[in-house]
Formats: sequence, C-alpha cells, structure tokens
Amino acid sequence: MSCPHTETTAVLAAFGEAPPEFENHLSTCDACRTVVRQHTATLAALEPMMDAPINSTPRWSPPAVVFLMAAAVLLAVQFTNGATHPDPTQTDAPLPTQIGDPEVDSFNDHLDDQLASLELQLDLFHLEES
Amino acid sequence: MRSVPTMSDSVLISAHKAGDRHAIENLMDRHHDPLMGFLVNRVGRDAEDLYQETWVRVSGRLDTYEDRGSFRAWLFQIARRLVIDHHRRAGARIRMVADPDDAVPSAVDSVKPDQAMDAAEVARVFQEVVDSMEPEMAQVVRWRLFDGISFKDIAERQGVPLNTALGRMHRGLNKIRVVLTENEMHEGRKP
Repeated sequence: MSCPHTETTAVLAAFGEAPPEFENHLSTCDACRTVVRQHTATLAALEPMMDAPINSTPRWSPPAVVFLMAAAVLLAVQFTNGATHPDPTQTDAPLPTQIGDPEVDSFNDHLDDQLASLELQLDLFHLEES
Repeated sequence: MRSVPTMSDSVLISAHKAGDRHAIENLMDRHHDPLMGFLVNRVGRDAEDLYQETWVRVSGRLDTYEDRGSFRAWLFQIARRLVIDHHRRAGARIRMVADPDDAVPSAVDSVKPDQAMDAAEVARVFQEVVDSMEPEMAQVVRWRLFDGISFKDIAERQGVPLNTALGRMHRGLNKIRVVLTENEMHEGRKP
C-alpha cells in the first residue's frame, strides 16, 4: 500500500470523521482519494438497508413495549374478571349472565376502546418511523 | 485562491437573515476552496454540480439555521449528504473506481441506475459477506453500521488500537464492495 492513511484516516474520511487537514492530503494522494470514494460508494449502496438491521440485537421501541405490556395487563384483567364469576356447577348460585349484562358489556367496550387506542398509537409510531 | 471575507460566519449569517443579499456570496467565497476540495476528492468531475447544489440547500435553510455550532461543520454535513445521494442517484451503488491494490484499474461505473440492487438484495448479500468475515471484522462492521458506535468506542470494546479497528472496517468494506459488485455482474440484472 502506497500510503499508510488508506486503512486509517481515509476510512474516517468516508464516514465524514477525518480531521479537516486530511482534505489537503486527499487532494495529493491518489490512493487515499480512491479509498474514500470506494468506501463512500459502498456506504451509499448499503444505506437503503440500514433502517432494517439484520441479525442485529433486537431493539424494542418504547411504544411497542408499552403496548405489549398494556395488552398483557388488559388480558390479565379480563381473565381475572372471568375468574370471579361463580362456579356454574354450583346449583344454588345464580348463573352468570355475561352476555347482555350492561356492566360487563360496558367494561368490555372500555377494554376494546383502550386496545384500539393503543393499536392506533402503535401504528402511528410505526408510520412516523417509516 | 479567493479573497476571504474578514467577517465571521455568524456575522455573515446574521446579515443574510437581515436581508443582505451579498452575505451569502461572502460565505460562498470563504468556504469555496475547502468545500470544492472536499467534493472533488469524493466525486471528481461532478464536484461543480454538487457544489452548486450544496449552496442551493444552504441558502434554502439559512433563514432557519441556528448558530449553535460550527457553520462549516453544518455546510460539510450537507455536502456529505449530497455526495452519498450522488453515488446512489448516479447508479454508482458500487462504483468501481480503480482499486489501489490493483495494478490495472477496473471498469468505471459499470452499474446503471436501473440495475441498482434493491434493499432486500443488498441486505441478503451483505449478510452473506459479513457471515464470511473473521469475527472481529464482522463485529466492527455491525457495530459501526447498525449500532452507530464510534470507532474509538469499538476499539476500546475490542481492546485494540483505533487504527486496528479502522483497518478492520477498511477490509470489511472492501469485502462488501467486491461481493456486491460481483453479485451484480453475475446475476445479470434486468435492463
């Protein structure tokens, strides 16, 4: 290699991180200038996929985590709510009337609204990200 | 060499915002040589076009420019963005400029715009290349390109000198470039 900077400062220059003085060297060093152009072009080629990391550590965005946690809590609440109903095998207990019960319907509607709202927020977040 | 105005960038920017039509000309004069040099070093004969485009962008944003850092850094950030766009737009996804290691220069810009690989193909090829690299090299490439970790921090994490980390990135990018180029040639992209 004709110039020791080709594997060091020229790489920094391709990332826009070389010291300004390096531009003077670039203007006189064909080897470094070639490396900067090649690496810049390679980085430009890779750029379209930069937003979609491959085999990188999965990143959980805060809204997604909040959504999943909220969904889990809501599901747990729903299960808990169901578990509080009396055992239908007990003949002397009144049969639960989940369908048509205004209070339960209202509660379920509320849960649906909350879930829909969370889903909407998540969709909006993804739209903003994209 | 052009004569350089004596007023600071900040003063010239303020003057521009106040309606002084000559202020931006003075800014251009001041930064002409370094900016043009920067562009020539990266895009060669297309530097003049990008120089003009850079100042078009700058003039369009100067009214809202906040003088919190270096104007020069901001200017070169815009220019660098345009250089990257240039490489992509011109179809030079992988621009085959002469390899300093090669005795014979290879073909120049053999990839046409409509031959450009799409993101999925690039990702697939990239993955194959990185998987074939030595672990330390692959780590540098992934950390830098996907996690945005500085070379200094990468060197510290790997327990090596900065130049070693840069050398690994250099060789990693070379491998990626070669394989992307070969892939485009071998697959006979649709016209």
